[in-house]
Parts: sequence; structure tokens; C-alpha cells
Amino acid sequence: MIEVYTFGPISHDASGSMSRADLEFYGINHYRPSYVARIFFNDPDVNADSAAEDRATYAGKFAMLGHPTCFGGEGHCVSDEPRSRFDDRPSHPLTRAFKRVVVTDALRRCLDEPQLRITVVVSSAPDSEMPEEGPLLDLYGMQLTTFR
Amino acid sequence: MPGSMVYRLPVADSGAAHMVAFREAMKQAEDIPDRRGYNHIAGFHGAPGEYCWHHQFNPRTQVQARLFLPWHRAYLWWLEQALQGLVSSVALPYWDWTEIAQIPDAYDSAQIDGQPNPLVASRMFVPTANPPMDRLTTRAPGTTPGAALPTAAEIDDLVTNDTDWSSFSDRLEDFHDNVHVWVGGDMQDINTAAFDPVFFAHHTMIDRVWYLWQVNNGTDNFPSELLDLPLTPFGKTPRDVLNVQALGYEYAASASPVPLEGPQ
Repeated sequence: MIEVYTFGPISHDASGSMSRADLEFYGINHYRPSYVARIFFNDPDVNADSAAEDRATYAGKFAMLGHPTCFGGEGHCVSDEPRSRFDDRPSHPLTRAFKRVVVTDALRRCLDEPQLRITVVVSSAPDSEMPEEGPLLDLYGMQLTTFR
Repeated sequence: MPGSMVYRLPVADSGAAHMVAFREAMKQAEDIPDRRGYNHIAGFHGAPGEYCWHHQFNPRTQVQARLFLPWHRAYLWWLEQALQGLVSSVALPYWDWTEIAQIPDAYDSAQIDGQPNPLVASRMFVPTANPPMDRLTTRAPGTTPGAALPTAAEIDDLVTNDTDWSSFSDRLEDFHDNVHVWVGGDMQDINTAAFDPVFFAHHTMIDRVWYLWQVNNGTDNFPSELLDLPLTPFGKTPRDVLNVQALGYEYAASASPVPLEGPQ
């Protein structure tokens, strides 16, 4: 299973003085098959067949160890149940995840391009199946952060 | 000697002394159906226990509870203690995937010396799962597009240049996820991963990378807000697991016993 997503364009404020740039992914749903997400900057042509780490526009990747199946009863994989204020047990195993990808070199290559489009090629094992309806890459948001 | 500190060594050929001892301990553990056995301990991670710590938060603190590394260190310690109860002084070997970019032979050969190899797979037996689980673990290495094992350059950069705990922890967990995805099969499912014996060789390597980072950055480089949170079900806290020597092990590249008797 391979899905391709394009985000942006965004205007970035990166400058040559940055020491590091991170692309941050918030609220990732991992009630999904495990997958690898490969990231490309300003490359409208990249697709499932051409997504390679030696491609000039490659920015980085992250992997997601997923929960591809539910082994419990009804409600077992529902992660947004309201909690009592006395309930200080750890949160649900399907609490959405955070990932950061260091993209410093890739962003430096784009400093002369004020607009940034981000393409994410997400691939799981060929025989994988979705445990619920929805996109393979299901998340709340992304942020490009630079540091001096 | 029983009760002594052990060195965790790299995964080696099946005939290496530390691999022979480890394989014997695992064989015995896989045959034990009760709480001392491998099936029970493997069940802490996903099905049926679901204790593993990856992305959760803990309501006792507002700080992002990055407990992935300390929880899994405590988990390794628990298994190692259980195995030492079967074969004294045995230690968990680590799979350095920066050097062995494939499933190590010691975990891939169906038989060794004519005997079934307990490191190839284990039988998952979780009768309370829905549906019940009762089968051998499987792998499908290298079949997920884009999945790759971490390189020495990537790990060297992480250990040498990333001095911030949260960034280091996030990035190491991601390298960890990559290995799970690369191995494939049950290792790709958080619920079943720990039943595959290679899970522990992989996680021992992850723990070693944290240990190497601690050598550079100190054992006290850890958020104070998280030090006393529980690492369930191990009865330990992050404070208890920051120093590996307190858990009875160290990491080494090799260890060769020297006989006390020999040519004068």
C-alpha cells in the first residue's frame, strides 16, 4: 500500500544562519499498518515509483511502528474516552504520536525558493490492511521549525 | 559467576560461547508456560499486557513523557534476570544493524547442530486475545518500500551531535521504528513484536545506543519531571534505570575469559 500526499505551499522564514531544521508531525494516528514516510521538498513529480533517498529533492523520512490489528473486544481501540480527574494511569496505547525529521540539508537547498511544497510518500508492506477507514497518513498537523 | 555483572556482547555466530548460553536460556524459557517463561514476558509489550511505552502521556506531569527508552531498558532487564534464573550469567546479545544489515544468522537458521533454533521464532499463545493467538511468529525482512536499517553514520551523528534529551529520544525511537518496519511480519505489529526473539536483540542495540549517548552526555541528562514515574509492570522508575551498572550489566565488543592455569 503506497499513498502520496502533498502539503503547502508554505512560506518559510529559514535563513542561511540556521543550524538545524526539523519538520514536525503532530497527532499521528498509529492505528494503522506500520509504514515508512519519505519526504520531498518542491518536487511535484515524485511518486510511488520514483520516491528514492538518492533523489535530489529528498528531505528525510520517518517510520511508524503501527497497531495494524485490534486484538481486543468492542471499544478496545477507541482512544478518546473521557477520563476521570482521579485517573492518572498512562494514556491509551493509541495516543497519537509525534515525530520529528531533521531536514536541515534539504531546507538549505531551498533557501532561494520562498515557497515550499512538501510531498510525503507513505508506504506499508504490500500485504498490509487498514484496521479502519481513513488515509494511511492521518495526522493533526505539521510544522517546519528552524534553530540557530 | 552467578550474581555478577554481565557484559552484553554483539550477536555473533551460533557457536560463540555467549550465543550458546543465550540460546540455551531462550530454549528453556520458551518451554516454560508460566510467569517465568518467554511467552508470558513477551506478552508485557503488546498483547495481552499492553504495557509498552511509545507515545503515551502520563497525567502526573505536563512534560511530554518520553519514557520509551527507560521503559524498554527495564523490560530488557526483566527478561535478562529471568534468563539468568535458567542459565547463570547469561546476557542479552545486541544486534548491531549498522554492521549486520540483515537478520543475523544466529536468528535466521532454522536448526543449529541438528536442534531447532529458539531464536528463529517463538509460539505466541494468547488465549484471551480476540481472536485467540496460537501460532509461530513470522518475518518478512526488507519487503516494505522505503524501509532501511540505520547506518553507522546516522547513529554516530545521533550519539555525537544531538545533546538534547528530547531530540535524541525522538530520533532514536524513529530509528527503532525503522528496524521494526524493515524486519516485517510480526515485528511490524506492536501487539506481537516482542514474541519474535529478534525483538530483544534489536532493543538491546537501541539500549546500547542510549548507553553510548549517556557516556557522552551523562546519566543525569534526563528530565527531572519524569524521574519518578512508574515503569509498569517492572516496579522501577526512570531514576532506577539511568545507570546500567545498577541493573547488572555493561556493554562490550568482546569478552574472553582468561584461564588461571596455563603454561608458566
